[in-house]
Amino acid sequence: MVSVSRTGATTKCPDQLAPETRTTTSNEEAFTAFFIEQETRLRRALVAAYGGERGREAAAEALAFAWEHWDRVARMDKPLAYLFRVGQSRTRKHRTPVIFAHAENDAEAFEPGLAPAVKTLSINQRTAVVLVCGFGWTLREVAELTGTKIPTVQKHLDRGLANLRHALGERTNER
Amino acid sequence: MNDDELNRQLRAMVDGAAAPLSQAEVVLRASSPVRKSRRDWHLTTHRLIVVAVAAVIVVVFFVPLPSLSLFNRLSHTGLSSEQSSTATIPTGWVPVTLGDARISVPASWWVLYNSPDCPRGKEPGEVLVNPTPTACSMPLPGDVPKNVIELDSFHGKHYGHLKVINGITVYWSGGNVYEVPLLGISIGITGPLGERVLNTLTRLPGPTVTTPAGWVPVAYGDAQISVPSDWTVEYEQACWSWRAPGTVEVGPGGNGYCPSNGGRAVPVVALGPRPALVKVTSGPRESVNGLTLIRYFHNAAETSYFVPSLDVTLTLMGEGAQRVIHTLTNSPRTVALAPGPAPTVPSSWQKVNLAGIDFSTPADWHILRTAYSEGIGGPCPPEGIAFRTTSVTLSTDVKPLSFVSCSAPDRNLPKEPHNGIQIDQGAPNELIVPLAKKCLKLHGLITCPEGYPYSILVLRVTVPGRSTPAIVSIGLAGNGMIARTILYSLHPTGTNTSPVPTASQHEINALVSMEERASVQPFIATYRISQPVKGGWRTSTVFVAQRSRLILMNRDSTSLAKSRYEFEAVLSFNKAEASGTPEGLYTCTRLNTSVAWNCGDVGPGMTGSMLLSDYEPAFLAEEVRGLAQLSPPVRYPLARTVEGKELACLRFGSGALACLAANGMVAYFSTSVAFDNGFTGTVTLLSYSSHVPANAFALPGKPQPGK
Repeated sequence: MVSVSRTGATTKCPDQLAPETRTTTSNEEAFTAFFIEQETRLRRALVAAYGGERGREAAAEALAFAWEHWDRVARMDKPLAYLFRVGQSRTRKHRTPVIFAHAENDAEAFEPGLAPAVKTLSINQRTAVVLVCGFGWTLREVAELTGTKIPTVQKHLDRGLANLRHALGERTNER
Repeated sequence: MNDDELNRQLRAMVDGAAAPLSQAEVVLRASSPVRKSRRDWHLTTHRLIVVAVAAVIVVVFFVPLPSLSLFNRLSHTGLSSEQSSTATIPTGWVPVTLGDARISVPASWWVLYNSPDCPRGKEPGEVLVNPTPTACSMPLPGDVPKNVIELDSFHGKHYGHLKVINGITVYWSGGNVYEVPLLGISIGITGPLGERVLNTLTRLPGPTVTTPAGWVPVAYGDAQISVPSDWTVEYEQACWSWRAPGTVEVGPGGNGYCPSNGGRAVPVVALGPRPALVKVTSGPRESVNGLTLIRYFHNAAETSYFVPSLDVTLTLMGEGAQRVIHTLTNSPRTVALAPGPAPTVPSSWQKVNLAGIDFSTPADWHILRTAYSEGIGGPCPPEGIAFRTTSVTLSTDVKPLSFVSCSAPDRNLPKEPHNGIQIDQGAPNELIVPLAKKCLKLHGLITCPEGYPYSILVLRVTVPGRSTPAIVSIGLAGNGMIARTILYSLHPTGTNTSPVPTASQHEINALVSMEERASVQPFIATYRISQPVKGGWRTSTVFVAQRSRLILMNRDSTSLAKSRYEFEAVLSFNKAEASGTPEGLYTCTRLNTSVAWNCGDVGPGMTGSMLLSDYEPAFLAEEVRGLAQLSPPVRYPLARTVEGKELACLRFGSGALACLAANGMVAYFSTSVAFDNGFTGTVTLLSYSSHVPANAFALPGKPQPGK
């Protein structure tokens, strides 16, 4: 995967760089490249699991951890999954409710009943449904992120979608 | 909803729930001192600190010294303890109040209210409260300065060096004049005791509103600031504006990195949530209006403060922004949600019901019933900021508002928030932004504060036996007490009982005898009259008497007959009143309660203007029903002897008396009151409260003799 850093240089993802390449790249540049590449994915994953407030906080904590321990994180095979766990554990004490605020403009608006319906799903189901359906992640990517197997993710996805449809249907009928 | 649409909405929901992170934010977070210190803590050290902190808490909580005991502080106030009155009255001095401000002066000084004249320099000292603006000559060089204190409304023109007196920020604005924006007053001092009097300045206990004239309050969460009414106000903007003559940015948003489209000379003030990136625990501390501010960022263009007790950030940029900081105070929300006893619902309020919820509002609030869902605070954005009118809106929400024309103004001016209440019976799922504060249990209702941290208190109210909660929105204006009274009047339909009086007669008597006999504080007393009408009784509040002036006794005698009867009773809906002073009798009239008083100084020897006869007080009392008139026993025959002492009495109606001793009200004589319709009614004391700010019921302003 290739991306462009803020300096305009074409950069490969850190987990795809050869060891000798890493040693020739400064830590800051490497982290910048990693940040540009993975921040969105990590934030979306954590927000999907824990809502806007805790999810963003967890992403910030995880990326701050990555900055602090870049030497170690840069050598990991699956840094995203590792940081996902870091974000989970570092914000565990917060216990904030799952919140999905309304969008500010119509183009990003969503059905008012969607957020309450998504909140009824379990964390695993919510993560699978949002990442796979909403953002086109593969089952393998979600499985790597959450440290589970592909069939497990498939099961969460199926049940999550069913539950989501059910919840949306109920809310629609209530009106 | 098809799959594609569902997928799109899932994306929108997640991406809209959290803003992207910047690398700078992450690096800043990683390098924050708090984080580093937390990381470096050894487990054993951590445990030791926890034990030490617990020990300190135990010691402070139970230490037997009243001034240090946290338990004592917590048990005596429901609001921020930082805001309590701290100044004590020196022995032999008496308090003088204007609004929420209180100073103390020697008991032998003269106190003159609403004087149209210049200071007369009476010995040993003189206090002019709310004097009519007059050009007064300055003392000549060589004159011995006399003790003169002028307690006036806030000029708001000059700001200079500041000092903090009893937790209140005071500005020296030149000469001998000090400005106190927090209390909305200015103080002029001369004479050898002037400085000492200034140092007794304090604020009367209780919630206050400190918005200078011509300014508008802007609230966020527990904090409120005030800004000039011609400033632009913006809510939750990603990029701040720089619009002249000033801009106030409210709520989350704005990171300071947006390009400026205006000169940095334009003042910009931002009031928002606590810093997202760094936990502020250290930094230079400043005290403003009794609140502690931690300055966590400062350069030539910008200063940012974190206010721990209010959990907000205040950022000031540009010239002239600094003056706003001195209006910082608790928002009405804190008063409405503060712990403590429920306020009493006035008997005159109307009862309203919707969605299984009963509540009370002032009787003159218009009730609008609608089937449309109009949003909170109106259908046009920004939603949930403030009510624009004072009314009761009951919405069943069965119909969506199909079309609303909302024109986008060139710029938004801050608008005065209004009281009011709106109940939305349906569509509660529109709100999914809880504030994470504790829910209140009110008479069986579970009320949880929801989003919108501005001037509307939005509550999700769950009624027992109902599956769908209702959304109750209460306007937050003034000092928040109306909102608090409405909030605490919420209860499930059918469970209400008759209004509970403020206090029982026994409690009132105890209060009067134990506290007010030993105090010369201002007080307010409300009387209720029950009048027999066809088919029952009509009960209404007919009389609100307030002693806003203090009784100054002659030093050589405590006899009321020799006292200077500087009482003043004000009736909220009076159209005429009289008050006695050592100089004579003031009489004041007004056409209605919304216009200014027109007063005349009868003066000694019946000279000067005379609106009403000063030797016909009975005529005056009977002309204006409910008139509260003090009757000094020497001049008027309205006196009673209680416990061997002759007391001055307030008279209203044709036979009801409330009699005052020199140190407070001690007796009320309930007699029948004759009405025009021939019935008689019974007057009873409904409530009695001390420590009420002066002039609370004297709208639209104190009588100004001579104007």
